[in-house]
Amino acid sequence: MNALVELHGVSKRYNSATALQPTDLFFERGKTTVLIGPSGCGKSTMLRLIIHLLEPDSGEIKINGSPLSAANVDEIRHRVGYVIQDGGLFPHLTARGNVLLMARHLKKSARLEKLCALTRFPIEALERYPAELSGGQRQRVSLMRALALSPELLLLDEPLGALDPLVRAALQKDLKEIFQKLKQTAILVTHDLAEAAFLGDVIVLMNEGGIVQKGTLAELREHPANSFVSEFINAQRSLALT
Amino acid sequence: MKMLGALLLCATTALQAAEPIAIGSKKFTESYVLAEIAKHSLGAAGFQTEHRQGMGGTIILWEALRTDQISVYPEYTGTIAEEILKNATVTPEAMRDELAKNGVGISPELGFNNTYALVMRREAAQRLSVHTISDLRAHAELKYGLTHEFLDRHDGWQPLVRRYSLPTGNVQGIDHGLGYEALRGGSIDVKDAYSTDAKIAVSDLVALEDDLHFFPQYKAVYLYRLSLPADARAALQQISGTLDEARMIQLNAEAEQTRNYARAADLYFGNESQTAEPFTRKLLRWTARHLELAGISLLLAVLVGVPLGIVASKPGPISQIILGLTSAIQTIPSLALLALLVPVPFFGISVRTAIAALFLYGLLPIVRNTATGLQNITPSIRESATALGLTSGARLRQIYLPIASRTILAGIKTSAVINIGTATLAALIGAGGLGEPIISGLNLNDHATILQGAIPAAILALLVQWSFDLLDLLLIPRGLR
Repeated sequence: MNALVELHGVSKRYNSATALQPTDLFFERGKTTVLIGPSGCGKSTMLRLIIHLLEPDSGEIKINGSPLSAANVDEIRHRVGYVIQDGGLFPHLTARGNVLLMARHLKKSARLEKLCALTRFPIEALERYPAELSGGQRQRVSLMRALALSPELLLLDEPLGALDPLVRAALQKDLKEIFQKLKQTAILVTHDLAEAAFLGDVIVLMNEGGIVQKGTLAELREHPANSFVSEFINAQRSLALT
Repeated sequence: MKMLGALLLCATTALQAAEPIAIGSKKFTESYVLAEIAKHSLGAAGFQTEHRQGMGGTIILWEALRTDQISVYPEYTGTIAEEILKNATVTPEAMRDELAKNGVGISPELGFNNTYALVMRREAAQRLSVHTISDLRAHAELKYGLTHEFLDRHDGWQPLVRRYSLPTGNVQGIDHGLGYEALRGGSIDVKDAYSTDAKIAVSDLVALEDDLHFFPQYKAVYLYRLSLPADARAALQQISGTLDEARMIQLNAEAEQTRNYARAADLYFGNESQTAEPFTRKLLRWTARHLELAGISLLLAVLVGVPLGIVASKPGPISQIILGLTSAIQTIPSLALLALLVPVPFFGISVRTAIAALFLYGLLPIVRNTATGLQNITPSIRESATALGLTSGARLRQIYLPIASRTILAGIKTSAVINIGTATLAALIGAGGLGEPIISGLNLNDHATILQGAIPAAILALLVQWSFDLLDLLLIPRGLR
C-alpha cells in the first residue's frame, strides 16, 4: 500500500450536525484524488482535517506514516500546499511577496521563474498586488504559493469554482499538466463531475458526511454502489460524457 | 497597570530632567501678576522658572505647594490664618512655625493689604466729605449695592454694620461686575470691593478708610518650599515691602488693560516692554508644550492600545471587559477626569496628570479600531495564513496587522486629533499648552486672548490630521489603498 495520507476512523461534528462520519480512507502517492459530492457532504471538512484547520473528534490522520498532531502540525503544513476557492492571497503583498512568503530561503529568482513557467503566470505581473490581478491570475499565484516549497501533498478546495468557464477550462488543462509533470500527490475538492473526470485518477463520491463509493469514473458509472451514485452521475451526464 | 505606571514614569521623568522652579497662581488677575513678578525676579537671579497660571483656589494651591508640585505661590496672611491653618488669631511667629512643619516658608509682607473695602465714586465722596467708613453714619440716604458673598461672610456686612452702627435701609445684593456698572451709572453709591481692585483706579473710585480696623488683614506674601536654594529665597525676599496698594492697583489695571501679566510684571521692574515675551515666542512655547502633551500621551496610548486591541479582537469576556472599560473612560467628562486624578499622590497638579488623562482618552479609538481591523480579516485569509504553517506570532506580524493597518491608523489619527483638542484643558492644572491663553482669556472675559489659543489649537489639529494622511501613504501597504 503506497498511501501518503491515511484516515483511520476520522469523524467531525459541528455542534449537533455530523460533518464527517467515522471514515477510513487512503490517498495514494503520485495520484490525484478528487473528493466530489453535493454541498455539505463533508468533502471540504475532510480537506481541513488533513491540514489541521479542524481537529477531528475521533480517529487518526497519518501523513507519510506519522500521525498528525498539534506538535508537528506546522512542520507538516510546510510540506503541504493549500489552495482555496478565492485564492486566499494576502492583499498587502505583491504576487511575488505572496509566493515567497514561506520560501525566503530559496534561490528566489530562479525558483520564481520556474514557478511562473509552470503555472503560466506572466513574470512581469509579479510586482502587482492581488487587487490588480484577474481571477485566473490570482488562482495561478495561489497555486505558485502552494507549490513554492515543493510540497509532497497539494490540497485544492474548489480552486476553480469562482472562475468563468473559459478561464476555468484553461486552468483545468494547466493543472493536469502540472500534476503530471511534478508527479504531484493532490487532493482536489469539486462538485463538478466533468472536472473530477478530467483531473482525477481516483474519484471519491461522498454524501451526508460519508463515502458512498471510491473508484474511477468508469467504475462508478458501470458498477454504482447504490442508486445515489447513478443519480449523481446521471444528473451531470451530459457534462461528464462529453 | 504596573507597566502603565512605569511607562508614565519614564515619560514624565524625561520631562523632569531639567525641571524649572514651578510658580503657581490662583485664578484672578492679582495672583497672576504677583506670580509673574516672582518669575521675573527668580529669572533675574539665574533660575529656570515656569508659571502655572490660574491653577484654582487656595486649597488646590496649598496642596500643590505642600506636596512639592509647585515651589512658590502668592498668598495672603488672612487666608493663611483662616483657610490653611484654621486659626484666625494665629501670631506671625506661630504661623511661620506651623508652615515650616509642612516644609513651607513665608516671605516678609510685600507691602499692600488686599482686604475688603467699601468704595464710592471719587466725586461723590468728596462732595459729601466721606473719607472713612465711620463717615457713612451721617448719610442714611446712600444706596448700597453689595455682593452676595459679602452680605453673607462672617467678616462681611452684618458684623460691619454692628461695629460701625451703619444705617441699613438701602441695601441690595448685586453681582460684583454689574456692581461697578451700577456704581458708575449712579444707581448705587457704595459697594464692596477688594482694596487693590484695578477697577478702583480705572473707574475713578476711592476706598474708604477702615478707621475702626474691622476688616482682617490680607497682607500679600509669597509662600515657598523651604527646600528652595538660598539664592532663590533671597530673590523672593527682595520683593518684600516694595508694593503698596496704589502700586498694586496700577499693576492690576495694566494687566487687565493689556491682557498681559508679564507686561504688568515688567512695569513693576520699571522696564516696560524690554523683557516682555514677544507673542511669537509665547506661541512657540505654548505650541511646543501642547505637542509634548499630546505627543507623549498619544505614544503611550499607541503602545498600550494596540496590544489591548489585539487581545480584544478575540471574542470572549476579556474582550468585553477591555472594550467596556475603555468606553467607560470615554464617558467621564474631561474636567471630571482631571479632577479625579489630581488627588492621586503620583499625579497631583502636574504635566503627568495631563498626560495620564490624555492617554486614557486616547485609548478607546485605538483599542476599538485595532480590534475591529483584526476582526474584519476574512476567514479565508486567516485559513490561508494558518495553512501555510506560519506561527501565530508571525501571522499577526506579517499578515493580520499589516492588513488591519489602515483601520488601526485611522484610530490613532482620531486619538491624535482628540488629544490636540483635549490638551487645551491641561492649562487648568497648570500643565501649560495652548489652553493657557484660553483659560486666562476666559478669566478676563477677553475674546482676543481666547482666540490666541483656540485658533492655533484648531490649526494644529488640522496639521496633525494632514500629517497622518501623509503617514498613511508611507505605512499602509499599496495593495490596501
